[in-house]
Amino acid sequence: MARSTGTAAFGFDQYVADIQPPGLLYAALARSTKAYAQLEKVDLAGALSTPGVLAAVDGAVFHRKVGMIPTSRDEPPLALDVVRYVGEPVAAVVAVTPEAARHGADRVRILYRSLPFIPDIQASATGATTIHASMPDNILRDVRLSFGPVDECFSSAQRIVSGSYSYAGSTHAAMETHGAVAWWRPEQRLWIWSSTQSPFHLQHNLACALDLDPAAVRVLKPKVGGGFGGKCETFSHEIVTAQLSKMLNRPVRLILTREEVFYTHRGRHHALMDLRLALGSNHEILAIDADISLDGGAYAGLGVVTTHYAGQLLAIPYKLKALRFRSRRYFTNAPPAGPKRGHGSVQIRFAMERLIDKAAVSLGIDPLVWRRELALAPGASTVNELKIGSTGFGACLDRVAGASGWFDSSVEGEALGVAGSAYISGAAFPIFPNRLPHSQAMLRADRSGLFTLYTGVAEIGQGTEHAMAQLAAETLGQERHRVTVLAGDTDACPVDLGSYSSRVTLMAGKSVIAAAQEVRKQLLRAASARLKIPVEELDIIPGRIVSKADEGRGLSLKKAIALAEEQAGLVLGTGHYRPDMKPAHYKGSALGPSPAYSFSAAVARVSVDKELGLIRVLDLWLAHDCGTAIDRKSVLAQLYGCAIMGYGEALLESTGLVGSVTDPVALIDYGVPLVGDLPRIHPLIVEAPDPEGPRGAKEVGEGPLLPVIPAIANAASRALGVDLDSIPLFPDMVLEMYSP
Amino acid sequence: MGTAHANFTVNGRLHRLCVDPGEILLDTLRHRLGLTDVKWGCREGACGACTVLIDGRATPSCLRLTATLSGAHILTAGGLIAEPLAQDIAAALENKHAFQCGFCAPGILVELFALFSRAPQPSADQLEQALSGHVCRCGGYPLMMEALLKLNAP
Repeated sequence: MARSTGTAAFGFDQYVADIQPPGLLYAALARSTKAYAQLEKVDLAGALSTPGVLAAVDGAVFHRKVGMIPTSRDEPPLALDVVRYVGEPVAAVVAVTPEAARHGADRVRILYRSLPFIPDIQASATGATTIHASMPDNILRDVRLSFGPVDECFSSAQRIVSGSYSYAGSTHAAMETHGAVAWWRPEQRLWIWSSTQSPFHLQHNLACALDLDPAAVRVLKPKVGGGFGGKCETFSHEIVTAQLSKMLNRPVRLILTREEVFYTHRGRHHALMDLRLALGSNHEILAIDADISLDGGAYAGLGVVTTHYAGQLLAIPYKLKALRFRSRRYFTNAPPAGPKRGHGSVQIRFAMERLIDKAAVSLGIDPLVWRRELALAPGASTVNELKIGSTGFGACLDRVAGASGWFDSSVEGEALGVAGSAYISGAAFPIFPNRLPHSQAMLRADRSGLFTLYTGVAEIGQGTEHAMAQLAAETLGQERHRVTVLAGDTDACPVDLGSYSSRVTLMAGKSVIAAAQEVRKQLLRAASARLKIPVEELDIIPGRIVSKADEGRGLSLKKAIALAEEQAGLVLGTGHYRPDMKPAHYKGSALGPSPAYSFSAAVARVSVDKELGLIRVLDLWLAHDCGTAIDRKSVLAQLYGCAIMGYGEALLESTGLVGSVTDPVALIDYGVPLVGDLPRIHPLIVEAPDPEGPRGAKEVGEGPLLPVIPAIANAASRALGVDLDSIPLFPDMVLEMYSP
Repeated sequence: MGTAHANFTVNGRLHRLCVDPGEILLDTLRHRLGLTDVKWGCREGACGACTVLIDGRATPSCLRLTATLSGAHILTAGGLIAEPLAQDIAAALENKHAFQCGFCAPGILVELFALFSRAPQPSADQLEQALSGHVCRCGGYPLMMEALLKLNAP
């Protein structure tokens, strides 16, 4: 019999819904049923008279609006005076059982005066109705940036190719719904367990929202059942449980239903994109000119970042002489959009890769070979001053070409499509401009022979804790099981900004290695004094410190730790990381730069039923340059995950385009991929170590999703001989685009 | 509303409960019996996370009313801990890193335990059919299939 060493399969892992402090109370939210309305009255009397209900509050108990970005905090924890989307939280009820809380919330009477709502970007752009009084044109951010001689490039171009693209919104649909357990403690501190990707942002934002000292807030991140970007922001349910707990001096739990997650999600922005490409006489790209409109929904959230990324990341992975973009994020009466895996870049990458293929067709050249020629070189600097370190983009294209038989003759009724992409390994500059480290780590050795790593990283299932233990163990010359990871507790762990923008492996990894190097030095020094062998002639091997010349001479690791404790007390190493970069000299230059860029390429093989408009993906080859694969199994798992999530977005999923109602709100209707839906997936790991990465590593959690969607669209477009320029490729939409 | 009586065993232990006739088994297991090894992702029968064994059949516990289960023998993922077959399945899946966030894992383990109990060497089709009621948003399906096809391969 094999023995399971994991904690997941038998249900041992504790997620937020499994946290049960003594005296726990339960909260539920009453949500808006209107897309846009004045709140005439929020009547809590019915809720308060519901058996088991202890308290009910509306937006009046809060004094501050919240939001992830300091310059765009526009969201009340509970709606005040106005509701701006279906599902917006209006009131909260706390009771002795979850059922009583739900009944109470259902008995909150909300009187609305409906306003004409804005369902989409087009309606928003007319400005006939405004959603926020302070934003009369309904635009959160209008970014216009231009790099290089754009007009000159277009006037001297040998060929200009253009296209208009649409990308529907999508949602993360992590299997665990969001939730929080807040406990206002007798010592006047707030403890909050939350299913979050960024415990330290939550600590800060809760302190702001509730006028608390951040030191009075302890965030505890239990196991998190998936995030994909959907658990980055600070949410109403977190602030509300904290407030209710403080009022009642008892712990309060609120777990969102699946329906509520569709309102809360902060999913991928619906985008409309017009792109033009100026091509030179040698088929080089002279310039890109892009006009991007994003449907941001009712509030800002992290939308400023999305708006910038959508334009800035057009500068990779191809060489350009000039780039100009206008990127606007519109308010509509839809649930707010936000970051989802590949934040800001997925929509525009779809558009760009479609346009590249369209250009290749018009030039009569091979789209894969051409992409290889267009690839940015290692060490290149882009027009908008992104500094590329290593790049394995060419190798990624070669790998998918070879594995897919790209150059072999095609089978009747089938077609191959290719796409390429690049992504950031963390943002060089933080959301709050400051000079503080982005990540810190502590590593402690104790006389038992165990190493304990204290890190602020937020494991959400991507394998971060595993990778950090691996890096610490390798640095110490030990097996991974010698390192135990303590993470996800803001009281115990040094700051790491969180699991977003694919930053963790690189940034936390660098700080972990630095901490482990310090401990290594202390142990070698102690062993050197005892063995009377100079430090540089010693080596650490699993369980022992030995002479390089004679492995028989040495002492046990435990002994070395004990000696180090005797000499200098606690054996502790610390490390920190902050990208050593300065923003370029233009406004908006802080968004886009990363210490290192990952690269990906995909080839899809599809067949299309021309009568039904049904696209069937037979094979998907996905190559990704992650710098160095610190843990190959985890890298493969991420590649599969990205392939399947991308496949779902391309063909199966959509949150609907209508702002008035989020549709669907049931998992069964939404269309997440199931086991029987899948193509054969062929993950291919490419390693181009980056000087900035820990042991050369770059990100793998998000970037590989980017080329999947356009590769499928390109293959289907080739199969049909038409341009399929909108996502998702539902059969009815395919038929609309394809009229033989 | 009246109450109903339900007597059944969960992980070998007999329970005699008075329940609301509308109470679903998922809530009984988690709230009343404290069995947090049963996870849930939708409460609408779509995700499979809350799957348990009811008289040997893998069933989403959100779809069954507790009051209808008198006399049943119920096993949850945690109740399989001493089963060599469940250990084999879990170890094979972990070895491939088939689970990432792990939230779907207990439901999938229960489903596979039921399958392997009646078909020790399941075909790819049988495996796919068993997994078809389970959502793994991390996309572990191909790694699961790979691990499971090897598990009892002759």
